[in-house]
Amino acid sequence: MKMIQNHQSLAPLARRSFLRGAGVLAALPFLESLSPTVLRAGSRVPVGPPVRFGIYTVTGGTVSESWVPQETGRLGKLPSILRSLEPHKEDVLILSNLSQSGGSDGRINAHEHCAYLHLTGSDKVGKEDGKPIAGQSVDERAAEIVGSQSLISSIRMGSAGGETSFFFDQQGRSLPVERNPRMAFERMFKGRQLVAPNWQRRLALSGAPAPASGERSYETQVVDLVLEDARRLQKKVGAADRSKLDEYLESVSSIEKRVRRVQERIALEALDLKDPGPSHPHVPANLPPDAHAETRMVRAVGENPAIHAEYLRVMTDLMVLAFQTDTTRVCSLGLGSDGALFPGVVTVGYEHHAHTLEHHGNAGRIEDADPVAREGCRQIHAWYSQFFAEAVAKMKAIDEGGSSLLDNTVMLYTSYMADGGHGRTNYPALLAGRAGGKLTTGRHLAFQKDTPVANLYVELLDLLGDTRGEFGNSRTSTKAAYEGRLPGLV
Amino acid sequence: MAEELAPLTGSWFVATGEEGLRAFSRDGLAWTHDQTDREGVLLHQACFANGRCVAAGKYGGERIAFSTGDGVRWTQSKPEGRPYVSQLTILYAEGGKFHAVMCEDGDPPGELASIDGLAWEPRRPLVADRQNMKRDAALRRIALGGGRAVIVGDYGARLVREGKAPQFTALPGIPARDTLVDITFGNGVFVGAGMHGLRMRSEDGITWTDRTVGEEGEHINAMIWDGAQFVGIGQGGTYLSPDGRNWRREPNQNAPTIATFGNGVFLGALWPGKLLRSTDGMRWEQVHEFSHHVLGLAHGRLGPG
Repeated sequence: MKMIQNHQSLAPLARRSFLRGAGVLAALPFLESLSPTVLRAGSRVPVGPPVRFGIYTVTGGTVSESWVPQETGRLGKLPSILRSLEPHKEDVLILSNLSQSGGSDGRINAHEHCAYLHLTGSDKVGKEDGKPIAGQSVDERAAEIVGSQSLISSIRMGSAGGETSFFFDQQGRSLPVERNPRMAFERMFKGRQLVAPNWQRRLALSGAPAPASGERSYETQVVDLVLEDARRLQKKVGAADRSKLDEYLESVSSIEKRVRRVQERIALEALDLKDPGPSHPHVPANLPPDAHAETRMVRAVGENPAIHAEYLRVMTDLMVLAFQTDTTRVCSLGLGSDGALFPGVVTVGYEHHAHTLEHHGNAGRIEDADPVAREGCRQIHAWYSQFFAEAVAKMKAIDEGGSSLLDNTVMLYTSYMADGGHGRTNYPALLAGRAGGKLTTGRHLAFQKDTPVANLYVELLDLLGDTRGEFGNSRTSTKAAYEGRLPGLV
Repeated sequence: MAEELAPLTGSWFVATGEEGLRAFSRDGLAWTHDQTDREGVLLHQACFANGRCVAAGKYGGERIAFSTGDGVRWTQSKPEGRPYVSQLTILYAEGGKFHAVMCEDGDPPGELASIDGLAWEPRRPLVADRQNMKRDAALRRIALGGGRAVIVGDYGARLVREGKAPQFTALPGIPARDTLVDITFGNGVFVGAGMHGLRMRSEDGITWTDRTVGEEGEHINAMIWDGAQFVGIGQGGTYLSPDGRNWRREPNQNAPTIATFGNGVFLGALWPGKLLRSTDGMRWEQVHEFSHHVLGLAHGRLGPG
């Protein structure tokens, strides 16, 4: 209460004060729209932690008859690829008959076609000057909506890239993915301590100014000096140069905002350190101890399933940690590789190379495919699913003060090809978590054949507070359905 | 100076695998005479005949075979075939000879024979008529019994040879979903197993009956006749039947992906390099771990007699 009074007493709004306030003001709509509607008695303060959005996408085509339940409605025994999620089936939603209809410009191969459409749901994808081009991917749109509320607006990790580029910015340019787990960890936690936010306290303060960040940091002082110099210069230069200088000032101002945000985060986390949330984040057990071990791990991922498993676990743990510590609210994992070998995972036949199995295990009609190769594909995807199930279990076990991290998250589990024959119809799509209570899980929803995948992305973005009501080709696809939505999902 | 290995005689298990792994064991518990070769040598098959043991597979684009009469000295041979195209997929013993079935991309399968696993007779066609063979269908296992031989392979491939016929005949019209990944002979019948718990039975290798399926995803990797019953070793369950008609499923854990049987013991392998032993095909115990993965297992006799 005292802090609010102080805030109200602030007299004429200085630019710096405005910026500080902007950080807080920007937070308000998010907190109101994303937190559960339950209010503490006698208070207007929302009581729930924010919703996080995760993407867990694996490589290669899956085997739909072992992925999609035969019955719709309440989930019975899960198909074999999803069997490891059986203990968590009340926390998942399976969606079927979602397809990509976007075309290609003819400059890309079938894998690229599937990959570029995967998270963008674009009408058309291709290459310009040899570089992938597509629409914005759903994670990046999500980051635009909720990204400013956390330290890092969006994190992309895993082995996606090249032919399997899934992530695209607003201009449709391919975005990089952090492949190295230690690098990812350092990017998130260098100079920070691992602490779980105390959401109760944070939300109680949600109308108040950001906590004081102590002395002005070195970075802030540098930005101030640069701004002062530039403003002095601004009075002396001509119109043409002034325009350039304005652009420069804008970019410095953007840096200033980022510095400010980090400062505020540090202050917020200092409070969390004194009075943390109920869970105890820790460094992932499999994090390579040094650069040499990391290089060895990353290099062997495609050849040795035991190391591949370690890699999947550490990347999964990093995603959970990123959400648990509110480092980001949008995190994507692009895992697996078509080129990977799976001895021991694939236990039938002599072929262990995923790409070969994908091609042999698919045909125009399932009955004509090589069943041994198809079984190999099924085994690979059942293997991937167990790591996703582990992520679900871990998130479920993280208490955020009366609700679990999984309750406050929506995770999309999918694959970039619907089947190993570069299929783009009936994509695997599973949601885990309740998005802060907005999703009713434990169901299988089958939509009309070839409903655009983009409709799902509209719904996911809607859960995060997006008001656009469209994404990708949700309204422009030749297979447009349900006015670009997924009825009954929410 | 390295300790000199003693020659082996009598009945032995052999394990073959990556980097040319070859090792022997009397009981599956203690392993001896381990040998390896170059990186990239993959020995998928092993077989005993005439007091010798042959391990076969590939090295790069070449076929490769190692033969020994005492478990100590191995001699290498290179069975003929087209580089990178011809692969030895089955090794079996019959009529005092080793036989290697060779699958080739784009061509019908062939067969090589050898008395000692060193000198191989020229390749001859395995089937009389390729009409019923799906192109590129790999052949995987063979069972001999009742004067017949039955080979099973991908896309539902089933080949039968009756009596002293020189070649196999491919059966027509078998759907790919009925692909058998292993087959055995016992109690006067052939019994095969495949994906999703598939089991089928045949008295002559031509007419297949008693089609039974199990749980989706719970495929059977090995079908063994242990002298009293058929034992289908699956991922999650072991299927038992005295006649291939009436089956009992027992849950298993840590089941191997390849298995053999000898001297009352089941022996299996699981990636990477784990050797598992069982006396009933249901309860498996890891008894050894090689630094290279085991790809082939067999049981038979070394030495004279």
